[in-house]
Amino acid sequence: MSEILKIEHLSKHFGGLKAVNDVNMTVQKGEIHALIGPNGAGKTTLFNLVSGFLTPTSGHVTFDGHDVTGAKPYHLCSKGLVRTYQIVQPFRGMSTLDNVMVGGFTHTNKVSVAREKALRALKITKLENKADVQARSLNLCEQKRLEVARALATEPKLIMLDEVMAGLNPTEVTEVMDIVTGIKELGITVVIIEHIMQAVMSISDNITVISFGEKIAEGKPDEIARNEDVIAVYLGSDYAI
Amino acid sequence: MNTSKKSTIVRLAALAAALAFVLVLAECLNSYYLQIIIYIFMFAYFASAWNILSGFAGQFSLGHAIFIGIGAYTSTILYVQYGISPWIGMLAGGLLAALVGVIIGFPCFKLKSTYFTLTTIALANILLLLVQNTRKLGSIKINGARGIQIPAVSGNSLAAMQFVDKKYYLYVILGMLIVVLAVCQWIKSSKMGYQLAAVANNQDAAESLCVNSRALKLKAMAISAFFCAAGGTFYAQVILFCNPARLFAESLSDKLAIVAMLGGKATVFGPTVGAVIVESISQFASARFAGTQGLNLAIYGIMLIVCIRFFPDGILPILQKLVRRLVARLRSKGETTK
Repeated sequence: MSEILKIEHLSKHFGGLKAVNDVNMTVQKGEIHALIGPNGAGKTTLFNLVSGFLTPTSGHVTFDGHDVTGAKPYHLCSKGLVRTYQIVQPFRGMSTLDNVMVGGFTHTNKVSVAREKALRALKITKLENKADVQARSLNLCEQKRLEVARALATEPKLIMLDEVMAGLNPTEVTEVMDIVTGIKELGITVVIIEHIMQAVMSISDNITVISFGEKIAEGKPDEIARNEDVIAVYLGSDYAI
Repeated sequence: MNTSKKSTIVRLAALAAALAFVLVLAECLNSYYLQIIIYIFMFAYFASAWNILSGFAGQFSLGHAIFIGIGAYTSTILYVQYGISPWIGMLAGGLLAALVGVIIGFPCFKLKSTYFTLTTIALANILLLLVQNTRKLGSIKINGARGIQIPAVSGNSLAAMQFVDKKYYLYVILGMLIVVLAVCQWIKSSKMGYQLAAVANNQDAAESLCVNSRALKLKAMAISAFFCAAGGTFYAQVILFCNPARLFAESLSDKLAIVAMLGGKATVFGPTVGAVIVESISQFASARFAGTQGLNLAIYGIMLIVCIRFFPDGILPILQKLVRRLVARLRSKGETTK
């Protein structure tokens, strides 16, 4: 296995607040890598830094062998790094298919090709029977899957999913988990931010834990579950073994 | 697939019928009514051009008179002072306006929604004041607030774009409208249309899906400005006069927005529908209530309020829904009689 994403000494300061502080992280090609941590730990900020929506104060991001620190989102996306949003951001006035087609145009100018790619992405995310529905009338679970479908239509090498399972009921969570493992089987690397621990523990190959902007642990799911620092951060130091 | 092919055939047939109707109408009407129809088409054209930037790309401009004025002034100056045909002036004005549009867009597209709109209003007013207070620019005579008169040519001259018989103006603007509608249709059904709609809906999400929103908006701005300026040339040729109070006016900018929104923003035919409704009502009102100053404007205002309150998406989507319902009813009736 080789590394596809490498984050070195990445920091982002908002005034005096160190939202992300000197974080190192490596993602291997083909794995599902989870990013966890308590609320406000800096997970989404880290995502924004990597996906180009924020420029880091210091540090480097290397994607697929290229230094992409501070690159624009559309530039990163055409190189194969795409992200979804925690708060769903559908194009409300457009149909589900049209939403996904916007992603489908990444490597083509042809409408028919984009449509084909979009339909494939809708199939993976099990939205094919909603293709003609207006995006605004989808329910939350469907909108979350729409986010994933749009990202998949860009034919990425690495997809960054920001809390795709948050706010879903247990049945819906299993559905989305299947979709995420399905994406991995397509050979796409997945970085996922998630709070639902059963999901994280069962699907991810590696986990990075951050707290107050700093990385406190990294490893396999069972190592993380036994890690004292992680337990202290989540449950309080009294519960640390 | 078959039904979509059928519907495009039906649509084309409807367009051809409308075109034939207008051409026949041009033969029968007197010059007063012809003038009204010319204005309807001209505003349909302007609003369609406005719609490319403000409807499709969602960048709400209230300063498009900038481009109309630039188009009108460029061709008029070239014609009056250098004897260059307005047709070439139209192209030159269009290109100049596209360039100005890009220069405006470059810093201004960093602004979001309302702030962009406010900037366009300010820029249009600045340009109005500048033109009003400039007599000469080097060797070019601008004549300040007095404006430039276009010397009339006798008879119908295609080269000078001046016609005594008004129906030729109608043919010209009809041709221009068809071109701009074809461009709109092409944009709407191509990659650019999907990406513009994405930017109009949610710029950040669009950016994360490989859409270079800045470049795309600049492109939309250039196209929109080009067509507005070309229309500006036509406007100047119809009134044979170029004055800042008319061509750089805020009310002109507002009218484009009103016409397009009333008809249906971000649709291909919405602005045309809007122009037919707004322009015919406002012409009727100003003729019928000529004695009562301001009543026509009141009618205009009431129409606008009703429209925004009850059909914010414009009239075209409602018309389409009605037609679809009618077709469905006819079809079900046909099946029962079988």
